[in-house]
Amino acid sequence: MATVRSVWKILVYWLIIGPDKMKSQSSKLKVQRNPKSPNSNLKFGFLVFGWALGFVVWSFATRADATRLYFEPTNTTASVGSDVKVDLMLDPEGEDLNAIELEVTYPEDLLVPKDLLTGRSVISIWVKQASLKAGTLNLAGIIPGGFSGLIDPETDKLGPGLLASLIFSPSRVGTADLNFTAAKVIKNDGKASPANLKTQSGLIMIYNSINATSSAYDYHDQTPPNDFVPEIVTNSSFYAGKYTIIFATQDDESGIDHYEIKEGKMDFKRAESPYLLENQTLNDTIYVRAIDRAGNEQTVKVMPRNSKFSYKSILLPSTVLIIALLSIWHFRKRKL
Amino acid sequence: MRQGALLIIAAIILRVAVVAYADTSSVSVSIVTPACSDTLDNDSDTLVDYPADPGCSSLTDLDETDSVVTPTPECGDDLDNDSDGKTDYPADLGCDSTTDTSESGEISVGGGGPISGGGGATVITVTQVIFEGTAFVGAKIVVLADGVFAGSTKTKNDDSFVLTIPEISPGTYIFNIYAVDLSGRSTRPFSYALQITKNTLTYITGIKFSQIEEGTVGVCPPRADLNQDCKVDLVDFSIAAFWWDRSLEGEFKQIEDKFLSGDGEISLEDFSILAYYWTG
Repeated sequence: MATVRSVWKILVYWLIIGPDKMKSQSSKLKVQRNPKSPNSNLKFGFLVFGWALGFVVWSFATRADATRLYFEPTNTTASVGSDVKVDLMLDPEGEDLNAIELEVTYPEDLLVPKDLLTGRSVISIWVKQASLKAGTLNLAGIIPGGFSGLIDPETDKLGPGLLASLIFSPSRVGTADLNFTAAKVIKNDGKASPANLKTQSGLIMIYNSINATSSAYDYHDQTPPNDFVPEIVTNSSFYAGKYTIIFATQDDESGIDHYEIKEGKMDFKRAESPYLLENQTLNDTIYVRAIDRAGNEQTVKVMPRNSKFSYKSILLPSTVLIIALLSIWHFRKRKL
Repeated sequence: MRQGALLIIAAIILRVAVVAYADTSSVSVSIVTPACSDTLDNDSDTLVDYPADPGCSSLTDLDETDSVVTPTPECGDDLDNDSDGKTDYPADLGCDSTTDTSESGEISVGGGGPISGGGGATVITVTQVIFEGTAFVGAKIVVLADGVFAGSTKTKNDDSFVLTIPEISPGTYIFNIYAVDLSGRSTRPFSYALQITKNTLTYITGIKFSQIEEGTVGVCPPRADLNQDCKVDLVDFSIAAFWWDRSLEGEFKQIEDKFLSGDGEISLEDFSILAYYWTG
């Protein structure tokens, strides 16, 4: 401790009197412990200033070290049978972040998952589509360009951003903890440095009656997902260079639940991007459908690159037809 | 003791300055609802919004007030307005002075009527985001919304720019804005996370791009461009996503080593590198 104090004193002296005079002042530092020293007031002041400066440096440093994951509200109450909503929040606290992956557990015997809304999430692209089932919330996603906080237009200050809203239907009386069992947040620095992270669990007190303070959750999304443009690509890095379709869109209300694809006359089937096309000749119209968590749909069409009626496909039937007609004509002519 | 107290005050001032410095930005965000698309009769002329209200030049016009036009009095405009062969005061007997607004005679023909017609108004609304700032000569300004191209513009002669996203659905967005110079090199993007509300104009002003220094950046992103097309976008993301939870094989091992974290697997760290170099 004495060493730390000495370092502070030297630092403060250096700051105030400059390096040139440090040598001549060094003897004075040695008499710091003498309370009757004529410079004791000054030294006390330096000491206090040193502590204050330390506080400044420490508090400034911790501003960028306190990225928080927490629930809003942190503690709430709910009634059995009445839905309750809690928001999972990310507060960068001055840090610039661009990737998040986490897992949260909840007691299945107390909470029945009703819905998971991601439409207002600050996550732009989902690496792992958020899921809320079997006692676990899972999500992973990125924020291209980084996220330092949601801007408040009134003050231009930065605040926390929403990651997802969890809707539960409490099934019986009890205390339900929402615990972070895994969480990783990465800085937007190009080096994938991990952010120093603090997590704060959530708590839902479930009662049998109207003792609950939380308002009943009532939400209806009638807006389809945003329009989007799928892209057919080939790359040797995936699916052995075969034709693959990639797609992504946003839903500003409840969030994207899943995608479906239909190639030509085939039925729609559930799909994830990147999706290996079954018809590699690209002569079918492809339909990609985004479905949000409320069931609204946005279907977009990708026109076939190649025509079904190629030169080769009509050559053989045409030749057969011509030969048949010539044969009939020749046969009739001979008969006459 | 007094010196100590002064030093404490100095430390507090320093602390405040540090916080202020950290939070100060020249960029400002403001949200306004255009008077010409707010479904209200702002100037009490019984006409609402563009195009019904003549005070509105567009849906994004912020003022519905009708412009005041002072017509030249008919009795002083050198025209025979009532086609009676006489022009202006005092020749035309319908004129009391040069400031008389009508050349017509004392006897009026016909009746009055409504000043303006009514009818069922179609409510047109607008939700826009407008970026304003300055860049350098010949810069192209590009905006991404949630990682997807949303618009671009060129700087004007005075190096200023205004880029409007003409129609955007309400919601939470991460906007990235960057400048591209004449050599095709891009600045680092500025990122703004905003909640966009319906029927509002959101202005992000005070953005400033400095000239890219020679030799600091290349035309293509140095990392994360997995398909080597000089862009980092959804295609690169999809390639990485394909290998998520899979063992790396073939040439992708070298690609991961060269352009991503090089840890031999696709993890969140690799997606973070993609997000950092994202060009859309």
